[in-house]
Amino acid sequence: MRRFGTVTGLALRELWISFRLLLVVGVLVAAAVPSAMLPHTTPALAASPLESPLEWFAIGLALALGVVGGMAGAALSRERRRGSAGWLVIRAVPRAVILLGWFAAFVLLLVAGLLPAATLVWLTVAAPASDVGDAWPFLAPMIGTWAAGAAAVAIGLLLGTLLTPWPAGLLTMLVTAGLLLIAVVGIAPQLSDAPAPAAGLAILGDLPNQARPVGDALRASGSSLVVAAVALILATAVLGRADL
Amino acid sequence: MLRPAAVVTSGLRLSVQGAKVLDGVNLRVPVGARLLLVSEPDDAASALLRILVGLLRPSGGSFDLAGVPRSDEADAGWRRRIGYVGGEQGFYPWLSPREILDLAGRLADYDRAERRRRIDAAIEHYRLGPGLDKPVSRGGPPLAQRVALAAAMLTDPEVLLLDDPLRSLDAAERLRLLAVPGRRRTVVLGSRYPASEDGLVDQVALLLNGRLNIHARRAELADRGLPLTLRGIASLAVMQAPAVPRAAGA
Repeated sequence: MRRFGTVTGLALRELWISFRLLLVVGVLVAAAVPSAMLPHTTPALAASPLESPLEWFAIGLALALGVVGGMAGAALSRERRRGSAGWLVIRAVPRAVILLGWFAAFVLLLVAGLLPAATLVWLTVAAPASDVGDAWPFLAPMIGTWAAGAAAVAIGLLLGTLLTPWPAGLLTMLVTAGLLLIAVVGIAPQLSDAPAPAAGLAILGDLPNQARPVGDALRASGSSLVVAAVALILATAVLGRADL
Repeated sequence: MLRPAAVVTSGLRLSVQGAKVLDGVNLRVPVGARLLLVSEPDDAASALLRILVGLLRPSGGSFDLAGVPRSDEADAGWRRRIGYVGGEQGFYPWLSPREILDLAGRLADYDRAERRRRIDAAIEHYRLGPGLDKPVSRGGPPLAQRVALAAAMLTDPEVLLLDDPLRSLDAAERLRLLAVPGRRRTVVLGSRYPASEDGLVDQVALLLNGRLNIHARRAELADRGLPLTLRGIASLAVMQAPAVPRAAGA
C-alpha cells in the first residue's frame, strides 16, 4: 500500500511538473464553458439544433474524457520508454502497482476537473431549470461521467503498455472520445441505453427527457467501472510481460 | 573448493524480432568475483544484465541471483541485495539527488534514521554536495550517473550489475567510484570499452554471437601477454579452445 501511494504521488508530481495536470483539469472545465456561458450571452447559439445546453456539456465532456484517456496512455508509455518504470521495478515496486498508481492519479484528476465543471453547469443551467433542492438527477449522471472517464483512462493505460507514446495517446483519444460521442449524440442507441458504459454521458445530455436518471446513471457507472477493471486486468497482464 | 555462486544462468535465451541476442548462455559468477562482461555484438552483454535485473523477459532458460531464483514478486528484502546501474538512469529528471536517494531508501523499507545515515554517507562518497537539492537534470549526465550509482549502492547490495556506467566522468574519478569495496560483493560489469576497466575486474567473459565464448580469470590474459580488449579476450578463447573440452552443441 505504501508503494502504491508513492507511485501515485510520483505520477501526480510528474503531471504537475509537466503541466499535464493543469491540462487535464483545464479540458474538463473547458467542457463546461460553452453550455454554461454561451446560451446566455449568444442567443444564436441558444437556438442551435442541440436540444439543451446539457447536451453541449455532454459533448464537451466526451471530447475531454477522450483527451484525458489519451494523456494517460501516452504517460504510461513514456514511463516505460524513459526507464522510470524500470527504475521502480528494480526497487521492488510490482508492475501492477505502477499501473494502478498511474490509474489512481488520473482518476483523482478526473474528480478535480469534473467537480468545478459540474458546479459551473449546475449553477448556470441545471439548477434554474429544476428544483434546486434535488441535485441527484444531475449528480448521478456526473458520477456516470466520472466512471466513463475512469474507463477511458484504463483503456489508455492498456494501450500505453502496448504502443509508443504518440500512437497510444492518439488511438486512445480517437477510440474513447468516438464511443462517448456516439453515445451522447444517439447514433447507436445501444451505447446510450442505461447499462452501457457510456450511458452516463448520454443521460446527462438528455437529462430533461429521462424518466429514471438516477438509477440508470448509477447502473451505467457500474458498467463503466467493469470496463475499467477489465482494461486494467488486461493492462497488468501485458505490462507483466513487457520489456522495461 | 568451489566458491558459492552469486549469479547463475542456465541456457538463457533472448530473441528480438527473430534475431538471437542470447543463445543458451550458461554463466556462473562466484561470490566476490569482479567480472568484466563484453560481447560481440555490443548489445548482448547489456541484454543479459537487463534480464538479470528483471527489465527484459528472456525467451528461455533460467537464472539465480544472490542465491534466489529471480521473481517479480520478490520482496524488498531480496531486491535490496541487488544493485543495477544501466545506460539510462530512469529516475525522474525533476527529482533532486537527495530526493532520489530518499526514494530509493524508502522503497528499500529503511526507516527515516537509517535513510538519513545512508544518504549522508552517499553524498560524501559520491561528492553530490553541489546541486544536492536542485533537479538532477541541471547537473547534466555526470551528476545523473553519480546519483544512479549512489542510489544503487544505497542498500549495500551483494550483487552489483553495471551496464557501461559512469561514462561521463573522467577516468580517475570513474575508477575511484567503480572500485566498490566488499570482499563478498559480486560485481558484473558490462562494458563496451574493456581496456578502460583494467584494475576493476578479476575475471573476464565474452559473449560471442549470443553464446558464452570464454569465462576466464583476468590473470590468464596477463600471463599470455594479451591486452584487456575484446580482441585480447577473443584471442585467449582461441588459445584455450583446444585445451577445453566442449560439450556437444556448446
